[in-house]
Amino acid sequence: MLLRLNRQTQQLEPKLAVSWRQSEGGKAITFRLRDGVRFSDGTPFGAEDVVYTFETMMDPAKLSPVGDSFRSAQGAPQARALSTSQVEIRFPAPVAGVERLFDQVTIVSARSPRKAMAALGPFALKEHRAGSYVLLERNPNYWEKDANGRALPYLDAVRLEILQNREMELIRFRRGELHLVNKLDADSFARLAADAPSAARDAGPSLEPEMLWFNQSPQSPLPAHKKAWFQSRAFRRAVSAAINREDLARLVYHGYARPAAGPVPAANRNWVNTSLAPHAYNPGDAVARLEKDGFRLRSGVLRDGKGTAVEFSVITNAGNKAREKMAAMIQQDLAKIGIKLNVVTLDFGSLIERITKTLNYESCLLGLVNLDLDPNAQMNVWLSSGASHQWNPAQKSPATAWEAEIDTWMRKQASTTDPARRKAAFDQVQRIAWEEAPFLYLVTKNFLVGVGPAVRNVQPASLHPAVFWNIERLALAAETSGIRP
Amino acid sequence: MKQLRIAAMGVLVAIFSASLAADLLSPHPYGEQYRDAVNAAPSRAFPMGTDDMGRDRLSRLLHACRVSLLLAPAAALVATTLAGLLGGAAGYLGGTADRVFLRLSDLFLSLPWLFLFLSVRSLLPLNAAPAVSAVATFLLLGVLGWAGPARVARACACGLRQSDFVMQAKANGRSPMRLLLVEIVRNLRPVLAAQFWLAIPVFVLAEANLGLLGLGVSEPLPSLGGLLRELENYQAVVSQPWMVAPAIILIGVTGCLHLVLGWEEIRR
Amino acid sequence: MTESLPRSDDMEAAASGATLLDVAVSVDYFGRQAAVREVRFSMERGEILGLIGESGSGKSTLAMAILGLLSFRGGKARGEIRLQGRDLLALPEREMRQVRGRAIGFVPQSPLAALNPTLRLDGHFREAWRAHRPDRNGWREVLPDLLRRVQLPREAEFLRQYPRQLSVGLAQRVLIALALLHNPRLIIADEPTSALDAITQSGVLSLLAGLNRDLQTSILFISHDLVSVARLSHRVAILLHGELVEQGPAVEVFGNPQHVYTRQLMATLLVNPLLRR
Ligand SMILES: Nc1ncnc2c1ncn2[C@@H]1O[C@H](COP(=O)(O)OP(=O)(O)O)[C@@H](O)[C@H]1O
Ligand SMILES: [Mg+2]
Repeated sequence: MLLRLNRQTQQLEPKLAVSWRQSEGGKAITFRLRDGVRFSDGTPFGAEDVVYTFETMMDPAKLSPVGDSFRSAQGAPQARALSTSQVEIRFPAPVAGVERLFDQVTIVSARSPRKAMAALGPFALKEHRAGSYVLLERNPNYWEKDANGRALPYLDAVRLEILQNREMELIRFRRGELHLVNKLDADSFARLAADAPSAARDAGPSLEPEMLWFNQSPQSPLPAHKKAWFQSRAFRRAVSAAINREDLARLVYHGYARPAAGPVPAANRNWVNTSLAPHAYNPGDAVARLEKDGFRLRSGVLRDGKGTAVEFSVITNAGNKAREKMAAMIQQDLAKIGIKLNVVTLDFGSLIERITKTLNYESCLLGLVNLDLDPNAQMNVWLSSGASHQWNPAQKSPATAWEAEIDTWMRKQASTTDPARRKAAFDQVQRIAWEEAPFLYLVTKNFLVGVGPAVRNVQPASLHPAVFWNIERLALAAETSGIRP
Repeated sequence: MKQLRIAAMGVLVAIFSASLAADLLSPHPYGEQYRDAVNAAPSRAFPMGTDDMGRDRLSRLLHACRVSLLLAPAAALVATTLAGLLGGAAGYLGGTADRVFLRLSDLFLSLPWLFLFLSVRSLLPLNAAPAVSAVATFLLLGVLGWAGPARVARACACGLRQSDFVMQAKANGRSPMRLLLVEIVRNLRPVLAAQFWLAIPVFVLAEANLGLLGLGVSEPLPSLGGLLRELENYQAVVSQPWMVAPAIILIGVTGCLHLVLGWEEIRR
Repeated sequence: MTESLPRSDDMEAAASGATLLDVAVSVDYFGRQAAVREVRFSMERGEILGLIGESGSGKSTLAMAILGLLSFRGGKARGEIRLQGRDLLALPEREMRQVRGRAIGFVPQSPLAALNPTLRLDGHFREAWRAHRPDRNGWREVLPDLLRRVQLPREAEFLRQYPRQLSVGLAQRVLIALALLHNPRLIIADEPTSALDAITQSGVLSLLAGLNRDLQTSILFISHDLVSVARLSHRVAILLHGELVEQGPAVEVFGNPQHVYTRQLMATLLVNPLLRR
């Protein structure tokens, strides 16, 4: 990659590009490439490789998700070599915060006979067994040296194991067969923390909020009275106020999570709207909001204006223990305000089918995976026309005034490269989302990792890939003994 | 032997009546979360402690027995009945019918039936009661579980087909259907009974595995399988040994059923 | 009571005036060609034909061929088997099923193995009755007479027994009663006495002789025991390696055996079986 996002500082640092410069109001970006760099097979690296990589990535037939993030409504960007060590990339229109995307672009050699197998990074692919493991070996031509002038990386080989079973993962880690575990669930982590505290590392709040939303789509096959409930802000806010987020964090995540306020977790330091606090747990307030909206709570059953008892289902993906538990807890929380919640766990395929195609669901409990810190990555979620505008996707024109307002702010933040103005615009989006509660943000999980005692230089971060983002500097202590409980 | 049988009978009666009277015997509602008393040790308020969501283990165990110990035998009955009819018919008819049967049972044993459970769950109305999905799950387990026992039944039916009494029944001009039911399936009963007892714990565990995928009995309704899943966490088991109660109950019930009905079989 | 039951095909037989059974068959088994080769014989009404042959000569094969049960053993009959003029080999299975048990009764060799171990005795009668009669309980009316005829106890407890509670002799009588249930024209008895001890054997033979005398039931009596055959049969046929080598009235065959094999058979006996008649 040309640039790397330092997962700790959340700043970009030079890698294959020694420097970069944006010009023409953000419509062009010029990289100066590092000299004397070779691919793992010895092929020299130069501007033409960057151009080749970029062209390959922008080929629509390749369906590259990173390529999609570069593309904009006005068209695809073009890459051009200015010299052997200078590349310019031109965009049809200014794209805010585009340089961070280069963190995700792996440069491929234009000339190497080994094609994509030739690596520029610290490691090269040696073996790959689908669904089982990936074996990486040291790239002897890697350019970077440590402070003492020693060539990086320190490790000779890295084996990435793909384990299906969390129990197995933990057992093997504790036997010392695995040195690092990139992501532990809270249950496993709590157990690890209990008997090998030094191995359990809490990298702090992640970018991954868990949330619940109601299906507000007018096209959905739901009965009209349910659509009316879900489209009512008072109803959504009441449900939100009835959920005890502290309990969710404490019981489901053993405290390794915190109540969430909005789409941007505190971990995203540059973008979070710090003035927003999580919706407070207050069943009394919830009932008050509902009564004002025409609902009545009588002998433990909440009924709407027409007397229909309020009952709805929440779908979540099967096999995710934490979500199943959260759903069960929310079930009890809502029972207190007279709402009957039915929990339905579905396989991921049918869940996605329901929330994107058939829209045959009432509410959904899912988490958001944020790989990217920049709000531009969430364009698809917030624009009312967006396909990932989950509560009412792909609208022709905004269904509500507040959605129209979000559209405006989102477009505004995207159309400028001035960080302060972008932040102000995105703060507004976060505020509206907080008030209208199309997504009920529940908790933000901490990024939990396991680090074996033999591993040196680990800097666990709450952004992917948390434990090995600085893989070139990871090392093993001479005596590599496993962790024995 | 006799005393043992009476003791087993007593255990069964106790467990089954306790699970039928789960509502009366449970100290707490099975779904109620006492969030300030999670993973509690046994106490007067919670005789078997609480689980990780603060729910009373005893109440959950009683209700789980009711769900699993009524539904798993029902599913086993469905499976063994199908097995007797299909395996019996294949073994008895032989030839093309047998070849079709073997293919079909191969298919049933090898196909990943999970997708069927997936689609059944997504076909049920979203607001279906947990009890409905529990019954649907076990029914489907029963319907899909015929192939294994049917293979066994077929092998025995093949032997029966050559037997003198089947020949004699044919010489009496009996109709094929009566022959199958009276000569073949009746004589498969001991074999089918064994398959039936084997199937009960298998179905309870199958439900547990489905539960891992969120397909079994849905929250907050407990099932033995669901409670058994907690045993995965061996550290928790070490610190809270009373968690193994569901496993003991399952083994106990299967064992006792075997004792009681096995004896019956010999006597007859 | 038993006598008054109408015999199927009586009218037809009277009209055609044909012999009871006319056989001209060859049988191939899967993997064993020509287990029976061009065997021809016929039986008249009321006749007892003794079929003699050593083990493996094809006696049971012939019996199965007449009952149309060869296919279940992987065998196939060619030729003709006419029962009162009707070619059984040409009958579809549905109609053949009506013949079995109703027009032809069958008494097997090993009585205990031929009864369903899970079925009480009354169950056997019930099932055999249901095979040909729509009324479910008619067998209860005919049963007392039938049991008396075969000299079986008539108590309800007896009928509540399972086959394993019976002696071989009793079991064989039960099977004869089952064969008689629908009052068939013809009874095929495949070595009915070879599993029995001498005294029981004698009882069963008298019983068969009595049936033939009182009911005019024809009997194809299959045996490898010359003495029993000679005691019972009007005519005898000798089967050797799937071929009929000699047949004729018992007196002729035993009195003046023609075929070498028949003479050999006779030589194994110390006393001419005819002398014991
Ligand atoms: N199911 C069968 N398949 C092949 N051959 C058979 C089968 N049954 C009998 N045979 C053969 O046919 C011949 C006649 O058998 P069978 O009729 O049982 O003789 P018997 O009753 O006179 O002892 C024997 O050689 C036997 O091996
Ligand atoms: Mg024989």
